[in-house]
Amino acid sequence: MTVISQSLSRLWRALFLQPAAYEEMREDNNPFVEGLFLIASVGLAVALARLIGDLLEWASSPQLSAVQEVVYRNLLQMPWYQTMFEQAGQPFAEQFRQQYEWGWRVLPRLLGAPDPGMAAFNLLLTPLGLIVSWLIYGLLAHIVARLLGGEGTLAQTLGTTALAVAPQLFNLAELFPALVVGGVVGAWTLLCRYMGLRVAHDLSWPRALIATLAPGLILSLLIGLLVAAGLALAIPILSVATGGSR
Amino acid sequence: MTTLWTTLRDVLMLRTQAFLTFRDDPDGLRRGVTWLMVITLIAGALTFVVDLTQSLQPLETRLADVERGVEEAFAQMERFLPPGQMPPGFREQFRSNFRAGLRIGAEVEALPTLLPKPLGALFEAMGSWLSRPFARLGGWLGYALWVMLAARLLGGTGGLRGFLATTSLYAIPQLLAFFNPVPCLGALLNLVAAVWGWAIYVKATAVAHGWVSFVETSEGATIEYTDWGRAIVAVLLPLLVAGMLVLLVVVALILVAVLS
Repeated sequence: MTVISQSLSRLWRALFLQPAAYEEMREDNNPFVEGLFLIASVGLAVALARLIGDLLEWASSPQLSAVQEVVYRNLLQMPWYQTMFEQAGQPFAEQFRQQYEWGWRVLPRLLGAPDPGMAAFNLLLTPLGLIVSWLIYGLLAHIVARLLGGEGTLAQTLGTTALAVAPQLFNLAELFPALVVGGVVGAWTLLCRYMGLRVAHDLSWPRALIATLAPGLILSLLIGLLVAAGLALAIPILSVATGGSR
Repeated sequence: MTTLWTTLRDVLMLRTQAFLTFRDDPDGLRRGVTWLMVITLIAGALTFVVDLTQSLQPLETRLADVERGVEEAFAQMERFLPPGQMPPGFREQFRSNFRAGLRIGAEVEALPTLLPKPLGALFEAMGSWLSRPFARLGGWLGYALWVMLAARLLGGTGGLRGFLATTSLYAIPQLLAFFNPVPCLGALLNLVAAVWGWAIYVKATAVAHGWVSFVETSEGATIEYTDWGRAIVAVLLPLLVAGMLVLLVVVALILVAVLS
């Protein structure tokens, strides 16, 4: 119990950028395990809060299939539909129905319609996603920080950057249905990562800033290169397949 | 309680000591963020009540309100547009499609839900109200990071935590947004809150970055000197840079369009 309350207290202080929280993590016996525990716990708590929020929102909204049917029935009565139907006949009606159904399969999820099934699945995906992104970020940030003259170990880097999960605590507010936390978590996470890297490697502020931002830039560059390589491979293949090589 | 009122008053009067207290308090950022969130909730309380009351009204009343709003918007548009600018029959066509949209809304609203309907309306209004502090927090933090960078480049020596703690105080005049739903007065008070908030932000930046100094005179009196110029530049620089970038993009787009 003491360990959990200590971890929570550290997380809370890390959220408000108190250097002592990051220093404690750096000096911890096993910062990696401590960080892993923190991230998994916060991820699970956030996913649980979102599940409750989603369930409440789902229970207070009409069934999506019923909404889909109402909208479809009314669209068929609109003048523009009637005009199109008179001009193009049954093929238009069939095509319209297909596109409408496809839209309803994709759009509600994109627009954040409550989906308790997905929210339940997120009990697994949220902690896992947070852990994977932490490990990738931590590793890249560690390499950059060392190149910039940092002296921390990998375990210390991972430990202090794990405290950057603290802003996820804001997401616990999504327990309330229809509440949107928004971009504050991303910006705050960046701040906590900056503090973590600065303390773990004892870097000056410009170097800590570079080490904080570099992993994001490196990842974007890698993704860009992969996309470019994919396109470079796909275009000749498509060109051959469609007979464009003549 | 007295301390709270004193701090509020001193911040609003731009008194340096209030900002120094926040800057140097290890718990200043937590206090600042708590104030920012609580103030935003108080400021949005009246809007929340108005929204909730409106959403609990009978469906017909709400639909009539929406339709009246659209008609008023059309009337305004016609007043400002030159005669004959609106295509013939456009208004009737728009009205007919809009009514069809309202009919869909009404039918969806009438569909059954698992929980009682008023609870859904309460959730919706509460969700929107409780989201406000997070939106303000996100906007403040996103801008503060750039101001912090600008201030550092201009020779500021302040730490991140102290800077964030002091600048969070810009939210205090936003309490005036409580009167937002009041016609005319709401907009006027919003303007006052915005200007006052900027003044507090500039003062906070100056205090956080050591641009406020105290000079002792030969008579033993202490004179306070604030480097307003540097603080104003630091606060406005991100806006200016963003504006210039937007301008550059627009010019580039125009050039591309002209050349092609």
